[in-house]
Amino acid sequence: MNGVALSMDDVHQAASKFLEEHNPTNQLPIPIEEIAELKLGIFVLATPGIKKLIGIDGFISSDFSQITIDDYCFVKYPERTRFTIAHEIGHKILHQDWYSKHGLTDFGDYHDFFSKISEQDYRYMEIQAQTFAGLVLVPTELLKNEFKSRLGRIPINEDVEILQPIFNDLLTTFKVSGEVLYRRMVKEGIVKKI
Amino acid sequence: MNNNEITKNFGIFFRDRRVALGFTLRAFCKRFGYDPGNISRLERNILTPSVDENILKGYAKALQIEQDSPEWVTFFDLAYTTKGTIPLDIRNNQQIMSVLPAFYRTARGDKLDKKKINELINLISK
Repeated sequence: MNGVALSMDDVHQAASKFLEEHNPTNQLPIPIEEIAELKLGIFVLATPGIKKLIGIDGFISSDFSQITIDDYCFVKYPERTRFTIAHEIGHKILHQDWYSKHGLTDFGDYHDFFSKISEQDYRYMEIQAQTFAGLVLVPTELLKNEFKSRLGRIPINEDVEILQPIFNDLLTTFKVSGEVLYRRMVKEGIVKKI
Repeated sequence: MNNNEITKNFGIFFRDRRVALGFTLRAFCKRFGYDPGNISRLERNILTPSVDENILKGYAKALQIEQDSPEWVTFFDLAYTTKGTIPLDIRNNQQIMSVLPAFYRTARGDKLDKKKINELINLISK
């Protein structure tokens, strides 16, 4: 079974379209939980044990109507939860059509379905969802605007240590983890990769 | 109406009301001091609602259900009619299938092995 045939450019376009539709006023932090539950009608729920027992932060159901989050993560790590929700929405937007063609049709096929996707294809789809989530929660233009308003310029390949005070501010502005913000700044050429 | 439908309707009633008021799960629990896991279990119909009047009144107030209104009566009826029913801890395959993960987020983006998938199925079947 082949993975989804989407380029990273497609992922970028999907993220831009998503933001135009669901956050037209450029609200920050991006109200991803409100978008998921109140606009897209996705049932977000918290369940105990999925992180500790299974090692997953969350998942989207095979009918793409529910996002389940580990309840400890949900309460203790709201930034991480926001990213997981954005990531799972990414799967819905990018991969639902693929899943409807290749996905689960019978309960008994469940193991079979996952064994048919190669590790490489699965990981690529995960990277696509991850990229989508990063672009949605830290949109390119809004990230650059934050630098412009604070520094009067957009840094190019600077050391992250030099931008540390702004970096800390931006964690609150975008309500994401340091890892996500750093990755987005590297991708946008704002800071050097360590 | 069988017991499962009654329980199901309570969860759907609860969630529809919360969403109609513009509350996300987080916002609702934060505003009224509820545990997100418990509210999720109520809304998923795997926890039968309490019949303790004060608890139910607390929910009704949080959901802005006007006392003695038709909705108030429905809300309490749904809660009371589930008293003594067995929670939906055993679902049929079709129900489980719809909630099984299409994709799941692991730390490294790897697939789960068969053992972990079985554990996950057991966990979400309850």
